[in-house]
Amino acid sequence: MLGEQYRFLFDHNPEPMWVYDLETLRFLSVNHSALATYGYSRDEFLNMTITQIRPPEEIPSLLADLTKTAGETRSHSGPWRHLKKDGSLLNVEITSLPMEYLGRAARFVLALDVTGRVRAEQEREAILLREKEARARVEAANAALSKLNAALQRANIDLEQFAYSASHDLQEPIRTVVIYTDLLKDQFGGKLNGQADEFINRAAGAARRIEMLVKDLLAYAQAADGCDASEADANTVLGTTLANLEMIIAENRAAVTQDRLPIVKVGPLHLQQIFQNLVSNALKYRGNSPPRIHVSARQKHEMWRFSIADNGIGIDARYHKQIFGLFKRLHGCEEYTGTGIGLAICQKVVARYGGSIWVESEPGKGSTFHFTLPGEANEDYSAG
Amino acid sequence: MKTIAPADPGVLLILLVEDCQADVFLVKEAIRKEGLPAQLQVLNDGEKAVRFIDQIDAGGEATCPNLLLLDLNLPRISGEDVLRRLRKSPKCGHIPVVILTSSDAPSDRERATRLGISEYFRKPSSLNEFMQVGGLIHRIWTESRVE
Repeated sequence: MLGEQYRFLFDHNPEPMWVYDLETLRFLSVNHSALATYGYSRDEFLNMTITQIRPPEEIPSLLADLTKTAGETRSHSGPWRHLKKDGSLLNVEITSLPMEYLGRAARFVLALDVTGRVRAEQEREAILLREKEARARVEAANAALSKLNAALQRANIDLEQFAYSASHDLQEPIRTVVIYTDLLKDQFGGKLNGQADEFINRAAGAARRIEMLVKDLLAYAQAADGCDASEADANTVLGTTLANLEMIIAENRAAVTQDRLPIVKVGPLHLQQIFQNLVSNALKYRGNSPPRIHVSARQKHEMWRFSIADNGIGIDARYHKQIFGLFKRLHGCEEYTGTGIGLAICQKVVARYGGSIWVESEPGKGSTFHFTLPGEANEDYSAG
Repeated sequence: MKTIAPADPGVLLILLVEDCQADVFLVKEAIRKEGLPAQLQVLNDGEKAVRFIDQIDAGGEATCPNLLLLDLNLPRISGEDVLRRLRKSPKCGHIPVVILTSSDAPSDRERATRLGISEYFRKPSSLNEFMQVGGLIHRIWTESRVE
């Protein structure tokens, strides 16, 4: 019989199906899949209304929907949340059609279980939300960082500006002090009694020293400032440096040797500042035997590590870091001249190019100053 | 205002515009040591220098100096503006100018050079070097007399 065949199709459909009374909302018929899915027996189902398979908070919207769809021939809605007997929830999409069942105005319902899909969607949304939150946190951190960076840059510029103006403005009165102590010596030297000459000499010496400090401070403030060219052949630059130091090299009977050096991505004047300071230090802090200085370079990734080795007096390990500080000196001014600015300048210049500078040394065993600078990565000069 | 009176052509009239008295003394000392027959008038700010040039152009009793020694960093009106005004003067626009300054900024030197100067003398910090300004004035004066 046709009726029984349809009944069979209803009962054994893999999706939950039921028929409910439009007036009383009672279940009039449920299929096997509904029993299996919701966990109620057929008798239990037939004593329930469709509101009883809903979580209480969804009943108002269910009733509103029923009113809305009452006249519709076919309606599709969802996903809804349905309540199983064991209290757990499932998500369903509902397709319903009006029908007459055993003489009652009823509605046939097919509930498609979409719990898996909904959960996947919820998880996806949760992931997206977490991602969005994480991105927001990263952005906030980045914004804070760039703010800090900008503040730091401003502070640096202010500091350099201060050092520049201070040293510039200081130079004027110092110049006058230096000249007038000269004048005093010139016109009254030897004509005053007792220790006057010694006092004048001390004042003149101190004035010269202040002058030198201020000049060096200015040099430090300006070191690593803009330089037009961005590439330097270290061989040429070292050549120029040694030519500048020719007299001192000759006076010290020093031998300066070098390997073949690379082309580096720095301003030539900046590289010259470094060479000039390091080579003249090697000459100044010489030992008893004539200075032997060797300049070499080795490639490490995209950086070149330059090394300037000498056979001078060497430096105690305790001072290996502090010698790069501004105005840091290890010797009294009567022992070795200088203001302690040279290595600070080297460090500032090297840092501008993302490099670093350090020393390996032991007292009496010479010093090797190393510094790194960016350069061409494709040629190997290191064999030299 | 004291002005340089018309004088004997054998006397060098120098206008020094300089606010730092210590340097004024040194310039006087350098001129004295060089033994120049110079008459020096000192003005201590840029505004006075501009008024001085205005007066000469207006036919006042002052005469054009033979040489202007000019500091760049002056009160009220900068040395550069004084120089610019001088170069527009129908009466004194041609006189040799020596810049006396503590600035070694290339931009200062370039701007002054563009306005026509005989020498840019950077105030040194040793007495002997400062005294060389005497010889410098002597040379420029001699050259300007030959022309």
